[in-house]
Amino acid sequence: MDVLVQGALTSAVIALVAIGFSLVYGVGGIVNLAHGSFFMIGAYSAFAATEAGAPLVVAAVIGILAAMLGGILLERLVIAPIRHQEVAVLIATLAVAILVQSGVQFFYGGLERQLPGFVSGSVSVFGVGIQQTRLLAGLVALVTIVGVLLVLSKSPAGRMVRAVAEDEEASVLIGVRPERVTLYVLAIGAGLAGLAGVLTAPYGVLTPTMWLLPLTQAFAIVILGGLGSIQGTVLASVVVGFLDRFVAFNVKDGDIKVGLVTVAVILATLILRPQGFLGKVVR
Amino acid sequence: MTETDEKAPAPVPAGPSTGAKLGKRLLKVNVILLILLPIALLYFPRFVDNTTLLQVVATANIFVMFAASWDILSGYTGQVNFGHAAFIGFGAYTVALLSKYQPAVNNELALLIGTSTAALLGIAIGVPCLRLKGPYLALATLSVAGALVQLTFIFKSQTGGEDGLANVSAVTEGTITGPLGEKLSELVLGPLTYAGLGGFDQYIYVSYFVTLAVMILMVGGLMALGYGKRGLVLRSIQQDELAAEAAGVPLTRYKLAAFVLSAACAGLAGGLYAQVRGTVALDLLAVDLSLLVIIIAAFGGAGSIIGPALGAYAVILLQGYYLDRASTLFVEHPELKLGSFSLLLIIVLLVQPRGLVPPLLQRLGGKGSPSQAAGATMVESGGAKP
Repeated sequence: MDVLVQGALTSAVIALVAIGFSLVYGVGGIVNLAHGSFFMIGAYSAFAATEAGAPLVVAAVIGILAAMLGGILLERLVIAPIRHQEVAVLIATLAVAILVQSGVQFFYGGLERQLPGFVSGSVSVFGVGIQQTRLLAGLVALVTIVGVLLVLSKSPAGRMVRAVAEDEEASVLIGVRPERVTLYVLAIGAGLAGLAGVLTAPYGVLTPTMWLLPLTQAFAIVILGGLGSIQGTVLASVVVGFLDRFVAFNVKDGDIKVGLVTVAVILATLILRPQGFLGKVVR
Repeated sequence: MTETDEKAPAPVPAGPSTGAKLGKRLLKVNVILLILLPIALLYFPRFVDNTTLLQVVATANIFVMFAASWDILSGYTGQVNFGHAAFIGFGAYTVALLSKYQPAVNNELALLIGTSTAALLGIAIGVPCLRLKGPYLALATLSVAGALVQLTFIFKSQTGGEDGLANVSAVTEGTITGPLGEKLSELVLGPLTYAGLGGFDQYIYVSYFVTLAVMILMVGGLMALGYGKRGLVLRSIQQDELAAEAAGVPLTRYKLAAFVLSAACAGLAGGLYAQVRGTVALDLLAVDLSLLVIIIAAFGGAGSIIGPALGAYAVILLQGYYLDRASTLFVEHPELKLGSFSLLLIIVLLVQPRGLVPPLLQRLGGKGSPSQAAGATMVESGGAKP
């Protein structure tokens, strides 16, 4: 039961990171290795805001906005000029991730930081005691994901995004501007990752290298679900989220082995079914 | 990936006669560089009695190997490896663990074992990664290196976790004093700078010359390979995999061989680094190192071996020596160095995607069509043009 409840909450949070990653790939063909940095920017900006005396809710909003701003800057300054050079984009975004890392280290040092919780205490769900901050994080994430999925499938904006993902050239013909859509999607994806960073900051720890695990997990999820497939992403988040918690609870020293499981998932998928389990066959 | 690059690997002359001439001149520049550089490095200690700088150059020699070994896989075949630190660290940790648990094993054998384990890791990663390219390969290699970092935490009692391992059996230790010391000093340093060092400091000079020797052998070997027929085959894989296969290139064998060779060279260099430093730590496995290697290669121009090699000297001398003296800010905040390099890399990628050395070599070799450059087109390939 422990694993089920906690796994559900963890899944929701990591899905929040993975959806943005997957959307950006689906729409722009861009694999953004700086995606984990948005997660970190969100968490650290919220932390900085609380340090400056801002109330928590304001800090959370600041965190999300900072991540979105980061996304916009990244797209405009770095990705847009080299958008069609796949490998150059990979290298440049990894460089950005390291740049952000060293910036954070410069301003905050390598010490671990923590954000105060939005709520405190714990409640019992299905007989499992959970910290309220974790519960809140999971629920907010869940609601956001449902919202994003609804927007994608029902609204005109979502149709535009799906159109570009399906066929960029054809979308131009019906009056969509792929560059614009890419920019918006990247900004929103960054915001979602920033939100995830803000939500996990009260129970995770903030370090300058905290961007790597969410990035790897997002990648594992996206590979498992198939790059660019949203339903696949959500499903795979559940799988990886439950695995994450299962390992953390049931294996000795599980917390540090979580990342290994993720890599195992990645390699196993790549060997067995490179296009992912719900993905389209590319090329 | 349907890359259509006009910059073919083979010298495709723009004008029929000038092309061949240019290629020859370029080759001449390369050859001159290749002969001059080792000689300069050999005599370097004679004119510089700055032991710190000497140690930095020794480190740079090792980074040359990191970059060159990365290049033979990523620069040539276009399978860009984002986790080169995995191979480097694997070799380094193997050597360190050997020196901790099997002190009887001597340094050379330890290096050999480190090289082979790294090569095995190369097979282990290379096989599943054979079919991958671009983003898939990037993220897979990135996460394998990340997984190795976590493994060191899991086996903390053996690997020392975040503290790493100290007391790796050093290349050599101590100072030779007395007449022999003076003789050696005079031999290596010449009468000019030999001013009362009180003997021959083995550690610094031996590590300098050992790294230099291994570096020259490795870079020479890789260049011979890269500029020969096999290098052309490797490049053809980058240019157009399907066409290469259709032309009868055994793709799997070449790709895997490049992977394993790259891994083995990185493992050897990593092991040597461990012996020179005397310690291993997580920085040898971290993403930071993988990116630094990419930065070096991108500055130098991937796919030319010599480019990344020169890039390594520039970057490591800056990182280990000149930046510290330029501003105290870098001493207090070492993380700013990698930060500034990343920023520079982004700018280079946006402005001069072929790296800095190939265009420079081209300028030296004479003006002409860009197709004469030794540099590859790593960052330009993979265009999403349908």
